Amino acid sequence: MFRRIKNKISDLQHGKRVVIAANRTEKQYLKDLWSYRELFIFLSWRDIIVRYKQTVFGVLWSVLRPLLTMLVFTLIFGKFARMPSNGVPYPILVFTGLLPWLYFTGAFQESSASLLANQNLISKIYFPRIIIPISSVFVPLIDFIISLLILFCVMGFYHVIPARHILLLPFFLLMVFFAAIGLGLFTSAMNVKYRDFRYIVPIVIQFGLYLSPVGFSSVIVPQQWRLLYCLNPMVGIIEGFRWCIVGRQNRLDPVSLLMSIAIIIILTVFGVWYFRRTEKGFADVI
Amino acid sequence: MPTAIKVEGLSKKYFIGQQSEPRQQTIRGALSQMIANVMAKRSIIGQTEFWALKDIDLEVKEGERIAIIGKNGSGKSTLLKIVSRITQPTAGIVTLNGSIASLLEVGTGFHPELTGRENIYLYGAIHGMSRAEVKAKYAEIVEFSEIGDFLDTPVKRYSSGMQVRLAFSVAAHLEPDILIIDEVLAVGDFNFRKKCMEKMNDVSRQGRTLFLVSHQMDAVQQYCDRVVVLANGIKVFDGETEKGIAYYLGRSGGQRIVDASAIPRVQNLSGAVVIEEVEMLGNENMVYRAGEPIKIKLRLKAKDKKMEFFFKLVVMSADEKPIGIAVAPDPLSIEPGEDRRISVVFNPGEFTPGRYTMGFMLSRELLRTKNMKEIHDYIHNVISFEIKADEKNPGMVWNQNFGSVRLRDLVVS
Repeated sequence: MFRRIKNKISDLQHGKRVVIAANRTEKQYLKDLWSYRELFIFLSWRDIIVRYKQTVFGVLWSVLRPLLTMLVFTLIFGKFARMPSNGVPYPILVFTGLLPWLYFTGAFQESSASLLANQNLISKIYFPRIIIPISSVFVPLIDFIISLLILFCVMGFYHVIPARHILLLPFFLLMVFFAAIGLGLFTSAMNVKYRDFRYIVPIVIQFGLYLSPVGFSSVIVPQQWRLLYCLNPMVGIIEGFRWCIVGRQNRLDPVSLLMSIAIIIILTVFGVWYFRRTEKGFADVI
Repeated sequence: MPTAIKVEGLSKKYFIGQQSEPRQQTIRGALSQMIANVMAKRSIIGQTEFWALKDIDLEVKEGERIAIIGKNGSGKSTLLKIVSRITQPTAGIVTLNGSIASLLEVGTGFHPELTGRENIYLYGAIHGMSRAEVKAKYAEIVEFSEIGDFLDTPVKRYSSGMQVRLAFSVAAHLEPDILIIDEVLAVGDFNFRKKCMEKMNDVSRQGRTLFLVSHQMDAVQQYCDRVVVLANGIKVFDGETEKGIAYYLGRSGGQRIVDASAIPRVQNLSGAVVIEEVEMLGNENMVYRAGEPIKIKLRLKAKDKKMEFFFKLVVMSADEKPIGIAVAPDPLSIEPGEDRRISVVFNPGEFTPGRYTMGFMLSRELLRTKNMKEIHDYIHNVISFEIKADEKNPGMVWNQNFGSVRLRDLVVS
């Protein structure tokens, strides 16, 4: 009985499936991904080369953007608003927040726009489409590395020595990475179907900058609002970055960290699910 | 022979608007439609469906070279897109055995800012080749492309011909079990095209399956041993290349007698005299030697009054390009209601070997035709015929690359 139902279900599914090769089916998406694994690297590599080729300002901009933002935020939040900095020089407090934030916004923007930017590939060649938004998340890593180097210079200037926890930085980087992938997969797929969705991305980023503790320390958020505040996964990530890099009074709050991880997992699973669901129709609507 | 591609009951449905105007889809639009639907208590707003493919069955054996032909909008591209996994069918199953590479457009995946060298690797990766594979064939690819000096130049500075050469060179070295090609042979200069064709021949000699869509009947004839003709999403012919091409080119479907009244006409013809039936005389397969006359019989009918008109014969090449027109210089006359039968002898003496189609026109003036109203009737591509090389002159191999007509002999002194 049970088997019959199961057979029926698989029959129904196969009705809409393209069965590929002797024993490979669409179900073996992972296998397909594996055989196209080099494409991840090639697409990221392509976007990175194109981005920095023939541009003097490409690199200069990567240096100026975090520096100028740091200056403005230090002036407004540190000097004018006199917000607490936990004994860390305010520019460093700002920069440790900017580091994940700029990477997140870069990655999120790149991946949201990625499918439309590769329209011609989608309508003419087959490969697992998920490669496009994921590979684009690697592109802003170059800017991230540049920013990290600038941060070390700033720290040197203020005679601040990195904490031992800095070895855990890759873990937090991974968190931003997945936050960007989860959201990026969803918005890129939405962008294919609804062309006006792209106007939402800059709005999210603009509000996010002030809703996340980029220019200030999250300690100023009142305790009763704290749980709600931590729904923003960037809270846990930015706190994590500060803890990793400057340590000291910047304690790592396990509640915000766990909430951040949980929300990132939810975002990623949802993003992948939504992407996989809509992916089949991309070539028809793009 | 094992099966390479098996297509069972394949159908693909589009909603009109889904394919042609995708850019109009917005969240705002979707939301307002949702509200409209709720208000009107209906779930689907009156979208028209359109079947691009309907219930296609097809089995391609390993090593077979098959061509899909059909008019624009017949569903060939949709079929190709489904088989190459770009889009999903609405119903049906496709089973592919073996690795597959599809070239639906030459140069897709090139990035204009990257150099030729960089693009070779990128193009390979996009088409499923590993870095190591590209590396191993790199020298061969570069040699084939003939652009050695420009490898470190960004592709955006290449001429379109160079881009095509580079793209095809990588593609030609993909070596999949099943190669799907859409019209890519139509590119490049004469010599490079010849080279590509030789490469394609190699591909099929190695037992790979070739799945081709083309409008170029000479390519189909040369490379394919089987033809499938699609019309309005339905498979209407499946069989030998020769017969398939004849079926597609002539509305006759390979028949000698054509009911011309069933052929759709363009608008605004006067319709005072119409062609009712066309019959090819004598030759069973409609294959003629150069210089051999073609005899045709037509049955005409006048609408309501006695008419004088001129008869013209229009010849087109296999890819539907006009070749020329032959006229009967004296006017013909017809009585109303009369079943007028005319016999025509056409001598395609100067034609190079290849496949052509003929159509017929009845008009008021011999040559000066100012508007469509002055044409009584016109049917094109009615019957296809083939000109074979003259056996008496075997040393002369004629080639359509020099045009379809041998011009008058030169006077040299």
